[in-house]
Amino acid sequence: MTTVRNDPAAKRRRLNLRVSTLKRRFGVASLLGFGAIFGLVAQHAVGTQKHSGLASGQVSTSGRGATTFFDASGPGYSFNDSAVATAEQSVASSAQASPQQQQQQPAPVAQSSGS
Amino acid sequence: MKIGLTVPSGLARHSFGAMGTGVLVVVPTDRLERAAAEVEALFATWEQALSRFRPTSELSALNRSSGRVIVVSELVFEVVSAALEAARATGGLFDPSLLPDLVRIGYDRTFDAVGSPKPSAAAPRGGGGWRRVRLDRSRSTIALPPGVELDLGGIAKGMAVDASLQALAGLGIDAALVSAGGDLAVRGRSPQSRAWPIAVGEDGNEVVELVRGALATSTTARRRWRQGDVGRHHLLDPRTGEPTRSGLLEVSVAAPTCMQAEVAAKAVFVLGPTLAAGFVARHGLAARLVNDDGRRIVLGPWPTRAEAAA
Repeated sequence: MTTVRNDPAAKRRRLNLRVSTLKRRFGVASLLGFGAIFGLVAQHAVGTQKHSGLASGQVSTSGRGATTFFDASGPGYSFNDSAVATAEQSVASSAQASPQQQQQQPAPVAQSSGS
Repeated sequence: MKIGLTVPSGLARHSFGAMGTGVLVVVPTDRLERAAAEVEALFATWEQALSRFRPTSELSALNRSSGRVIVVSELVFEVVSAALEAARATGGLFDPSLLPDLVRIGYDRTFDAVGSPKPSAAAPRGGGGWRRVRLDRSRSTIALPPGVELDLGGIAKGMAVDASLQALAGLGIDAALVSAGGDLAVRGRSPQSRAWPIAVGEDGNEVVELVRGALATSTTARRRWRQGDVGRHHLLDPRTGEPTRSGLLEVSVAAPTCMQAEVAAKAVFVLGPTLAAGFVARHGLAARLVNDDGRRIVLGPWPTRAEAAA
């Protein structure tokens, strides 16, 4: 027994085993730490982009990144008996409204004619 | 062309002038006095801060800053932020930094006073200056590079309309229409109908029934003048710095907010009838275009004539 404990080769093996274990643990800890830092950086980048680069600090307004300017806010818009803000595109043209159609139109409360 | 407007039963209207245009407020009759005072005060505050024609406005001070960092109010910061965001979102089709070109073609005073300005020898600058504007939200500061000046007239009007509706909601007014020079937004329903009938366009022949959201119209039929022998209007193409020649006479856009509708109408005007469809579809908007030849085009869920008349 004493011989085995004092065996330099056995000591070296035990030492190597401990070093190897520590190396593995250090490697795992490094990976976890790197992952956490990467995640925080990514979250910050997304947050900054969401706020159009205006959330904090001095920001350049150059560039053409995606913005949220036209994102629907609140209840959107809709016309009577018309679909609400669908992405569906329809292009049509027509001539002037007939007098009959104009008579059927409700009396306007306001006019959108530009300023 | 001015057309006859009616006020549905149970509602009342109040009109006043602000930000270089006519403002209209329509609310339930018993809330008119309070609503009118609220909206008038709001527009007065916005005009004092954001008018480029008032030397004492914050915007005028900013435009004179020539590269210096200027501390601005929260209101001015938010409107400038929104204008830059709008420019980014439209790839520069909406451009708040075209003021030097507007001045060059003679629109250097309120429109009523423009008259017939003398030709300018200066070359067009074109847009894009907004890309070099620096904002610092934490300090509420803005830095305009030398040569860059902002005109926030259109977007500020749209935002003031949206802010007015919010303010009226804060007063517990659940049915309201606010219009500034025809850029308008509605909230709630009018008592006698499901929607707000709005005459669209210069001739006002077409009526759409807006249930919720906003409408804005840009046109070259108004704010026209002559500079020497050259006809001018106020809608500039940022690519050239000159009045647009996109083949359009009038553009109306429906959007969730008046600010969005106003910006989109300007962008569509610059794009022209061929490219407008993609822009309108991409942003989920609805639009009505009138070509130079009078032909009408509708894009997105804009009501057809038959629907509007049904």
